[in-house]
Amino acid sequence: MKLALPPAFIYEWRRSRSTRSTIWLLALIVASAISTGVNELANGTEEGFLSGAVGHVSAAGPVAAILGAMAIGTEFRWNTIRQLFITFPRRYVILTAKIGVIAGLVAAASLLGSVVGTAFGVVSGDAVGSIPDWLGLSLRGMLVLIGWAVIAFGLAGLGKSTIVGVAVPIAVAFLVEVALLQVAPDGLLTAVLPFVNASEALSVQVPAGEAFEHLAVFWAWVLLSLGACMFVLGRRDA
Amino acid sequence: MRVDVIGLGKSYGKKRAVDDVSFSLHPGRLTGFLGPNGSGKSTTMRLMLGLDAGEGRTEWDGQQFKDLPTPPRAVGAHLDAKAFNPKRNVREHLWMQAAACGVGRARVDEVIETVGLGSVATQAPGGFSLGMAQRFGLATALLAEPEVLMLDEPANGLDPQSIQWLREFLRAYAHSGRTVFVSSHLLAEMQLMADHLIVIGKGTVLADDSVSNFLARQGTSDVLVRVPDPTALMTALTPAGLQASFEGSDGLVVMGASTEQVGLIAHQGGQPVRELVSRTPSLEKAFMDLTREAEEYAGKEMAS
Repeated sequence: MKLALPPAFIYEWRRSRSTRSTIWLLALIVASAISTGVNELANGTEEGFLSGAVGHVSAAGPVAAILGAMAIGTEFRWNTIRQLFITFPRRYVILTAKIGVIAGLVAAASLLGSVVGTAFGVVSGDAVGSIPDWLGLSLRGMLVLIGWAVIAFGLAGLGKSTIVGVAVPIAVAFLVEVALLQVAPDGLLTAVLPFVNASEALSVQVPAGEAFEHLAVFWAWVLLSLGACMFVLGRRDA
Repeated sequence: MRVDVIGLGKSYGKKRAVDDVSFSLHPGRLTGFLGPNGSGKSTTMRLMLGLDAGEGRTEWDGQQFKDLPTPPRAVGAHLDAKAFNPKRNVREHLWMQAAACGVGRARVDEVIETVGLGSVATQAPGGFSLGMAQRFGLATALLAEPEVLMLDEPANGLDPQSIQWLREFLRAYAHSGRTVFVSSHLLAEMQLMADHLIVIGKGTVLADDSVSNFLARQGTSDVLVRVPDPTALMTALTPAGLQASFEGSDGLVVMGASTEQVGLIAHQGGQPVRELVSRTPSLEKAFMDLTREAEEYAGKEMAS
């Protein structure tokens, strides 16, 4: 039986595939795993098997953000948003398809990154750790990367700009949250910061249950960004 | 497909861009959409397609646009000349669009040939001229052979041969039973192309009529005659109940007369006729007369 995908998903799949930067950015996610692995080979690691599952995520997060932001930002940049909404007048259908395709691509690249990273990790560190723990870390790594992409998509949609979608999450993750952590390291504020929680969700030392709670906090921000984008793009004049 | 535009309205702040605009588009007819700059043409088109939020509604064979089963098969629209990713080549762009309307590669190649872009099908359109970009946009709109074709200024940037091609293509498309709705500033072109006209000014519909009726209502035909002594001819025309005015040193413009009438009176007066021509009103003149008061951005007249 042939699987019939909705036209919006086929459209978005063809759009992504015909953009060379998509291929390069996905390759960069996998390259992040290779780079981290080579670094571990050079310097050694204590938890090669488990840390290899998520070693690529920190570096690949901004790359996933670029992918997510470009999925909607380029529609504004090239003035194709009107044609898009004429083709798909039920806007949430194409927006959902865009999220779905980007999520699928990032998930596949992340999984490949986990496998590659683990291979390097086992060689450079050890093979200690259970398969369920590895799967849990890989899943959380994948969801964090998808989260980066979706947050960037939402912000790019709200700001009608790829640059907004990429710059804002990077600035929050690497500047704003770092500063806040220094000012109030144990405050309530830091407990709800998105990227601090994403980082905790990927820690090998954090128990799986607690790690998924951190992931849930991160995803609350992801869904907030996506919901705001859907709401605004669904109503705003194109 | 019949299109009914009912009470469309849109404001930008205090400015009323479109105000209670209603008209209908019929299958088998090419309807021209005319109006001065800033009159609300593009806003009306966007409102019709649900791109902008506003008052009123547009029914496509009685349905809302978003409720149509496959919108690209019902409506093909080309609103922005250069709305494409400049790095995605022509065939890839159309192949992507083809997913939305369920057509295959054969149709993509066919439509590329139809608009004359076969030689650049694998090229990225970043370097396309405005005319080529218009053809590219038209190809996108035509891809699913839609029942309604909506084009905003499609002749902009086209050379005379391309304009002639576009005119013949759109007329043939309309007369094959489809609905074609075209906005344009090229009034002479519209006079040759359109069956029906909708004229908009300051956001309201000023005229909704066939081209022939519009011209007949807005303009009057006259006869220009050039003779050595126009004053004598003027005197001879008055008993026949004809009104005339001077034009140039030897010309008279006679209202409500035929060339035969004027020629006969000149002959009876013994005047050799240098020129005798019937002048029908042009769409440009009729449009200017109708929209003079509705012009949003009028330039100053040059002092002579």
